[in-house]
Amino acid sequence: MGVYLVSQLLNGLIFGLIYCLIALGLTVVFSIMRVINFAHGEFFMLGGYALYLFTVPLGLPPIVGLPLSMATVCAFGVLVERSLLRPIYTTRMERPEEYAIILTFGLALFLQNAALWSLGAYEYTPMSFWEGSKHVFGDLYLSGDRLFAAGMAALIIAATLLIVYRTWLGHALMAASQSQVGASVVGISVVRMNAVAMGLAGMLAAAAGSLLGPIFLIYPDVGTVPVIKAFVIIVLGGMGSIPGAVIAAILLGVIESLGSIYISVAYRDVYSFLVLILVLVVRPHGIFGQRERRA
Amino acid sequence: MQRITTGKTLATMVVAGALAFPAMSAAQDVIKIGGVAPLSSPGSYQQGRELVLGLQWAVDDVNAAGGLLGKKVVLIIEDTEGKPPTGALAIEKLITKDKVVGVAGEYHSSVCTAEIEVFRQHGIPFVIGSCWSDTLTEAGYAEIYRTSVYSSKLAENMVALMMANGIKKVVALVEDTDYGIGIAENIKKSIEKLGAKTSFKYEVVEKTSKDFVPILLKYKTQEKPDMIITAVTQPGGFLVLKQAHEIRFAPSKNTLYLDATCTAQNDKVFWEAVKGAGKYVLMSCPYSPSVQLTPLGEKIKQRYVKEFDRQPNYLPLQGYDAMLALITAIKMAGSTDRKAIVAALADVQVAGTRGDIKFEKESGVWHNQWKDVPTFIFQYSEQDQSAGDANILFPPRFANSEIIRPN
Repeated sequence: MGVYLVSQLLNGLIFGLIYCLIALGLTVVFSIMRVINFAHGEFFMLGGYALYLFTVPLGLPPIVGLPLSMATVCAFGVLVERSLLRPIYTTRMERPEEYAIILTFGLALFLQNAALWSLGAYEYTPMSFWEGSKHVFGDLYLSGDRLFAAGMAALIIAATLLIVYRTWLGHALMAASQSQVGASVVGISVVRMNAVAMGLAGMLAAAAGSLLGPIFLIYPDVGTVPVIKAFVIIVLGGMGSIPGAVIAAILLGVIESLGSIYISVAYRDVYSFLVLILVLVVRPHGIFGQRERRA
Repeated sequence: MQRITTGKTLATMVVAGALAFPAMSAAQDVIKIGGVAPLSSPGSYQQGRELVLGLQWAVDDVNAAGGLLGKKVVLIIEDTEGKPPTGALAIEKLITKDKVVGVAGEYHSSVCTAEIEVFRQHGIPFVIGSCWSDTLTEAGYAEIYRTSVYSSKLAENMVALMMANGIKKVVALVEDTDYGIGIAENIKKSIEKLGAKTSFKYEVVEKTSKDFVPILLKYKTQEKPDMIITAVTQPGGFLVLKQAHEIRFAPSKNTLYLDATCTAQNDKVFWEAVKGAGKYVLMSCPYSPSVQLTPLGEKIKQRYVKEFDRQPNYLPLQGYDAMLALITAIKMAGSTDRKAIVAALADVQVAGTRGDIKFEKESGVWHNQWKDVPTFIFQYSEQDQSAGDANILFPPRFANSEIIRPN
């Protein structure tokens, strides 16, 4: 029974790391731009398709395809910010939040249907990062791809945290997230920080989509369920809190794993919402969220 | 003043009539038939597209042969998105706005359940393309006919296979839909009905889930079944198989894997998605590429192979048969009157793609059902094997192999 429980905890931890990667991008965009990007799941989807393109028709090794797909979707994220989201803070828009919601929602539908129309309905499988089933311990075997995804997710999360907390760019991003006016006053280009945020979000979503592509396949609406989990995570962790997103993601992965076997697998996707409700009742701003002052 | 007003009114009426005349004439020159299927998320759009192919080809063929009752048939397709309310609305639109004389198609049983109420309300005939839940014909509605398989028949086949092979302990993962839960309950009933000495339990999973490892680990280490049956449609079904294989649970020497949805039959797509995990998978299907089809079935099969460079699965054939039955009934009725078509459907006897279609008049699941619709159980014995080369395990008269287990 001990080995069984540890197996489930390990699987939950692995999944939590992967959720974290998906949620991190969404958190970055919200904390800096104050925009909820409903097309984040489609960035995830694009990352998966990009990896497929680089590894199957173009024949590149997956380890080379991964950074290429991250760079591709990063560029797409910057393009989206420049062409579609910039008017939110460069013009005197009456309802910027509603604009952002409708726009990113519309973008999500457009990208999904564009993928369906151009690439077809069937699933694609990119090349494997680490082929085969690996013995972990005891009776537990997991796919090499799943273990690789978890390890790489941990590295990317660590690198992101390092950038955010230990580099000038990261400090500039945090300054822009705390106060855009204040950041401008000290010479930080808020417009540029917004573009960086969107690019970073695209990169992280693409990393998640690419790492999970060999495991969960790639198809037009593959990003829908992960992004719902990501929304739960960023609210649970505290809107705009990066450490909160990391903790919430791991917590969610473990709760879903254990809930599936000790309660029922039928409600796997419900556990996240249940935990969210319970936490918000006690801490309305999430685990690490900041209480907002209202005038 | 009054003369000018009257003149203006008359002129307006003449112009309006002239503009409407071509439309009215056009409407009288065609017969409109509806086709429904999931063509976008969250529906299983992969399957929906295959089903629509069959519907469209049947209409194309009748038009190529001169049309129906001297008129061209126009097929109006609606995307039901796999959602019951959308399905019901789509049917309302087809009937009230498009004025279709009948409808064929649909893939999701839960959507069919909502749609049959609308057909009943309007008295319009519906031939089910691929919804397998028994309840659809058990409802006993005069307007509802089915040319596809039904869950209880598939369940009995699976139980018969279990009995023939000494399979004592079976678990199942089924999707949270009318189809998934329905097939699990039918397996339970069939075990009792056939007196099988097999224990059976099932768990319901969300169709959109991606990670099934926790429950599969539980089955592997705690339950240790002889067979796992999955009734989760694509892509979830592919993920269950990949993950079961990844944790070395099934297919394995100790645990067989049976795909109850037949999505494994779409061989090119299946092998691309699951790779080595698919070797030794059993699948329960309403069609066999290796069993001699009717001349019409062979023609449709070759058309599919030519167009897509792969073997068809059962869906284009089921779609074709559903539409063929409806078109035949309209021909027999000799009119587009809804009541006449409904009545004519009861007497349809036509050579379909998979056999001679004829609807039963009994009550229960066989009400307006093609009772003798063929069903098979296959097993892939090699990776990348074509569906046509898979071993046939059931029914006994077609079986060419025993179950093969990995070493």
